[in-house]
Amino acid sequence: MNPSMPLPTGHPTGHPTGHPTGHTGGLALGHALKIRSMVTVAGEFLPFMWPMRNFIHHNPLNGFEHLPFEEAVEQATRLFHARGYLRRTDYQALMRDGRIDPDIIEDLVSEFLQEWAPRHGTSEDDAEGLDLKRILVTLMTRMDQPSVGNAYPSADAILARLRPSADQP
Amino acid sequence: MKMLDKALIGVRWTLYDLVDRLYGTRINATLNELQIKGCMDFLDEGQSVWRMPGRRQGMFRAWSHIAKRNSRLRLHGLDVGGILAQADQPEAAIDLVMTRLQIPERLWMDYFALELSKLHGWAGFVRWRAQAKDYYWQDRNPADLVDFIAIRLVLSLPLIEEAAKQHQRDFSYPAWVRCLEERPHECLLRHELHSGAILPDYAHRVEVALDSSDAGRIKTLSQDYAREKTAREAATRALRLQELCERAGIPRAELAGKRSGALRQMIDAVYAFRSHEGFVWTQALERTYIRALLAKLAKHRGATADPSAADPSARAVPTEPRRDGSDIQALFCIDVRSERLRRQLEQLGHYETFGVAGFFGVPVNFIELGKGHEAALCPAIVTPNNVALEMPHRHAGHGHEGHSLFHLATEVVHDLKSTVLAPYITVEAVGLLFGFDMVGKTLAPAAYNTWRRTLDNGKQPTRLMIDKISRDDALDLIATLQDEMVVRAVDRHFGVKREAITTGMIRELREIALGQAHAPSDFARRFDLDAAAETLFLTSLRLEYGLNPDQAKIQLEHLARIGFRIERQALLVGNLLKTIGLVEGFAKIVLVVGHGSSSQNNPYESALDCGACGGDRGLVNARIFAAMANRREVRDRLAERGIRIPEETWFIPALHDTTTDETSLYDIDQLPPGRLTQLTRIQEDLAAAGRLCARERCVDMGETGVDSSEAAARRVKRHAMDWTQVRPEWGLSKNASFIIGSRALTRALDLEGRAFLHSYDHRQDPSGELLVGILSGPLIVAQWINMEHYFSAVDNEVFGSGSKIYHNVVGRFGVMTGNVGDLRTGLPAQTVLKGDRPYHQPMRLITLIEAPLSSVRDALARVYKVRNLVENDWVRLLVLDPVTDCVSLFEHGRWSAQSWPPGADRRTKAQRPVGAKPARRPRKRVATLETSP
Repeated sequence: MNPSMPLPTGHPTGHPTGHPTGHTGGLALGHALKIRSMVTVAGEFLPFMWPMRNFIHHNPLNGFEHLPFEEAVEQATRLFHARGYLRRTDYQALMRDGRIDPDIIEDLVSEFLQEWAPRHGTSEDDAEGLDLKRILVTLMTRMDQPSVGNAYPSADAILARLRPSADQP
Repeated sequence: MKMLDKALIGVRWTLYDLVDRLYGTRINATLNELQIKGCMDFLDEGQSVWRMPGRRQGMFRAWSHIAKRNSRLRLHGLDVGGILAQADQPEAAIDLVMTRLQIPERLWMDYFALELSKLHGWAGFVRWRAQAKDYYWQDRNPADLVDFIAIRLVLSLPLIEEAAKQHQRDFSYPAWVRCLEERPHECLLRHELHSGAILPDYAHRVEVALDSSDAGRIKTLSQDYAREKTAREAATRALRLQELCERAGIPRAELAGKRSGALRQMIDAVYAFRSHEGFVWTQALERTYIRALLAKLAKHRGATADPSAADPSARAVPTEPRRDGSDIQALFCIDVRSERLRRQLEQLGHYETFGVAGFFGVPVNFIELGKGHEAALCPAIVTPNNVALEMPHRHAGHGHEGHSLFHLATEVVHDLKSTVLAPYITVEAVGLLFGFDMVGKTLAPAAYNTWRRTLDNGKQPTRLMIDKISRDDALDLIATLQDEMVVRAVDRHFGVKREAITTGMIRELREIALGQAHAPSDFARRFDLDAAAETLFLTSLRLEYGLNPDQAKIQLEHLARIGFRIERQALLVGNLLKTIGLVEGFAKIVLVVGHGSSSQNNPYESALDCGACGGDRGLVNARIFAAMANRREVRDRLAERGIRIPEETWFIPALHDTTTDETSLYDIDQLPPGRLTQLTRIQEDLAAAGRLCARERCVDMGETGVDSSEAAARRVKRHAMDWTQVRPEWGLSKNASFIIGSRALTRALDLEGRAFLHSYDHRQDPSGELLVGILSGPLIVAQWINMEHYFSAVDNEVFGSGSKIYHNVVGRFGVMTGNVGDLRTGLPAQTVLKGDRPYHQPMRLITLIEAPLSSVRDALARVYKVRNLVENDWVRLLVLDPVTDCVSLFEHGRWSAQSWPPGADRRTKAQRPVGAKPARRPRKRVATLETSP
C-alpha cells in the first residue's frame, strides 16, 4: 500500500471534471454537474449506514427532521413503504401492562375532537349527535387492527349500508 | 375507486414499477438482485476470496468494465454493452437512460429519490462512504450515489425495453402518461389483478377482458368491478362501525335511529382519526411516562427534602454534590445501562456517582497496539484532532518521565527486528505509528495476523501515549524509521546484512532517496552497484518503502497529531468536571468508568458498546481522562481556574461490562502505594453491585431458576460466552428519558435502566455554555439512539434489521438477510422485540433539564439543531426550574407549566398542569421556543 498514491483522475468523487474538454463521457460539463447535484439532493432523505464494526445509532428518519415529527413519519413511511407506529393491538397490550393510562387516551381523543369537530360539525342535529369521544376511545382500546381496503368508499356509501333507510342529505 | 394518477409517475412509481404492477413482471426484484451483486463485489472489504478488478477507478467504471462481459446479465437477457459503449461516465449513463425513457427533467430528482429508496441500506452505505473522507476503502475504491444510480438505471433500461417488446407496448414515460389518461379502466383492472387486490370472483373475468383488448368491454367491466368493490368495502366498514358502536354502548337499533348528519359525522370522525391514531398512542405512551416520572421525582423530593430549607433561594440549587461520608466518587457514562449499577453502588454506601457522555470529554483517534488504523473514540458528530497511541508497558518507565514517545517508538521500531516478518510487512507495521489506515489487513492479512498474534501473545500491559512530541523529536523519529527502512531494503534487495554496512551508508542512502544528497552513494561504491542498479534501488526506496519528501511530510503531520498539549489536557479535564458539577469536595478515589459489552459471534456487538465512543468500548477514553487528571501539571493549571484537586485524590479508569455487569479497574499499577489498600474493597463493592444488577437483568431477560444474585451473575456471564446467544443483553432497549441535572434529583430512584443520566449543576454554568455543550453533544447522541430504537421497534423489517438468525455478514461491513438482500440497517429483532411483541416501548426522548427555564431557553436559542428537534417534536422537553419550583413542558408549540412538586405552589401562577389538555392549537404550526409564553 502506498498512502500517497494519488486517486485516479477523472473519477466523479468530487471531480467530474477530469476531462480537459469540459465534457464527461460525451456530456457537457454543466449538465453533468447538474445531474450530480440532483442526485445529491435526491439522496438527502437517506440515512447514513455506517460500517457495523462501529455501529452508530442514528435516526433512520434523519433526512426528515426538518419536518414536525408526525408529518415526517407520514412522508417517510410512504417513501419507505413502512409503518411509523406500532400495531393497535401492540399499544393495547402496553395499556394492559399499565404503560399507557386510559385516562390519557381520553384526554388525547378530546383534544383531537376539539380541533376536528368545529371543522366537521353538523348543525341540523347536534343534540342527537353520537358520543364521538366514547366511540373513538373504544376504537383505540377495544377494537383490533382493521384491514384497510383500497376502494375508499365515501361516507355516504357507508352510511347507506349502515342504515339502508337513512334519509339522504 | 380511484384511478391511477398520472401525476404519480416518476414521483411514486418508477417506470418499471408500473410494468411490474400492471403486467405482473418482477423487474424491481431482478434489478435489486443484480445491483446487490454489483455492490457486494465492489464494496467488499476483504471478505470475498475473489476481488473485483479495477476498483480504484471507481464504482461505475469498475462495474461497467465487468458488466460488458458479464454472462450473469446475459442470462437475464440483458445486454448493457451497447449503453456502456456510449457512456463511460456515470453522469452520461444517467443522462442517456433518462433521455431514452423520455422522462422530463423536472422529474429527475424525484425519480432518483425513488431509485434510491429501493435499496436504502446499500444506498445509505454508499452515501455515508462518499462523505467519509478518511475511510480507507472509500479512498481506495471510490463510490458515490451517482455511480449507484447510474448502475441501476443502466440495468433497468434493457429490462424495461425487453418487457415492452414482450408485451408489445411502449413503456417510455410519455407512453405511460397516455396510457393512464386514455385507458384508465384497463390500468385499474390490471393493477387490481397483479397487485393481488382483486375480488377473487372477478379475477377470471378481468383476465379474459384484458386479453380481449376490447376497450368497451374493459370499461364496462371496470365500472361494474369498481361499483361492486366499493359496495362490499362499504358494507365491511359499516359492519365494523356497528360493532364499534355496540362496544361503545350504542346498540344497533339506536344507531339505526340516528339522523344521517350524526352518522355521517361519526363516519368522518372515525376515518379522519385513523391517520392520527398512531401518533395519539405515541403521545399517550409518552404522557403516561412523563406523569409517572414526575410523580416518582416528586415523591423522592418529598422524602429527601430538608424541612428547614424554607428559603426558596437556598433550594434553588441541587442539594449536592458532596454526599456526607462518600469516600469514593465514580464517573459513569450517561448510558441507560449505567443507571442500575450507579443505583446499586450508591445503595452500598459511601459512593457518589456522576453521569457524563462516556468519551469523558476526550475526543480522540486511537491506535491500538498492533492495529494499524485509527479509531475515532467520540460521538459520530465530533471529529477528533488528537491521536493517542497504545504502547507496550515494558517500554515505559514507572514514572511519567518514562513516557517519552520518541523513546518508546524507537524501541518499538527496533523490536520489529526480532520478529520474523517479510520486509514489506515491516513497512506496513511501522506505518501503525503514523496511523496509516488499515495497514496490514489489506496487503497481507495472513502475515499481518501472524504478527498480531506475536504481539498479542500473552497480551502485555500497555500504556497510553497522550503527550505531545516535539518537532525535533518527531524529525529524529522519522529519520530513525527511515534508516530502519533502508536496512530492510538493503537486506531484501541485496542480501546485505546490517553488520556489513555503516551507519554513514544508511544515512547517505536515506538522504539521497529524500533528495538531500546525490548518487552515487558509498554503498554503491562499496558493493559495486552500477548506476542503473542504484537508481532502481533508490526508486524502490522512494516508492515501495515510502522514503520520499511527501511521505516524510505526511509522517510529520501524523506525528503532530499525536498527544495533547498540557494546556489542552487541563482544558478537557476542567470542562468535564465543571459540566458535571464536580469542582470541589473530591474524594480520595475517583473512578472513571467506561463501558463495553461482551458477546460472541455477534456482528451487532458494537451496537451494545458505547455510543459516545463511536460504537467502541469506553475504556480508552476513561484511561486517557484519568491519566490526564492525575498529572501534576494538569492539576496546577486547573487550580489556577479554581478547581483544586487534592494531592491525595487519584483517578482510576475502569470498564463496566454491560453484558455481565462486572467492572474491572485498570492502570492500577500506577496507583500511589497509599491508595492500594482501598482497592480490594472497591473491587468487592463493584462485584456486589454487579451481582445485584445481574439479578435485575435476569428478571428482564425472563430467566427462570435464578434465586440469588450469585446465580444471576453466573447466568449472565454464561450468556456473554455463548456463541448461540442471540440476545446477550437488552442493550439500550426501553430507553425513554434523558435527565440532565443533579444526582440528588434521582438518587435511590429505580429508573428501570431506562434513563440517560447526565450530571449538571446550573450554578456552575452562569454563561450557559456547559448546557449548550450537553445539548449539542450528548443529547443529540441520545436522540439518535432513541430514534433508532423507536423505528426499529415500530417496523423492524424496514427500519430494523429483522431476525439475527437469518443474518449473513457481507463484505465485513454489514449484514443482510439471506444471500442477496438489502443491507440491513437498524437494530435486530432480538434487540427490540420479545417474541412478536415490542419489548422496546417506542416513544420520543423525554428530556428533563434541571435548570432555570430562562437558562434553558437561552441555551436552546444557541443550538439550532436541538431547538429544531424540540420545535418539531422529535424530543419532548421538560424543564424543572429549581428557582421558581415549576416544571414546564414544551408541547404543541408552547410552554405549559405547573408547580413542582405538585401541591407546593407557593409562588407560581395557576397554570395548566403538565400532561393535561393543551389549549386549542392549529395542527400545522410554526412554534418558537423563545417567544412562547
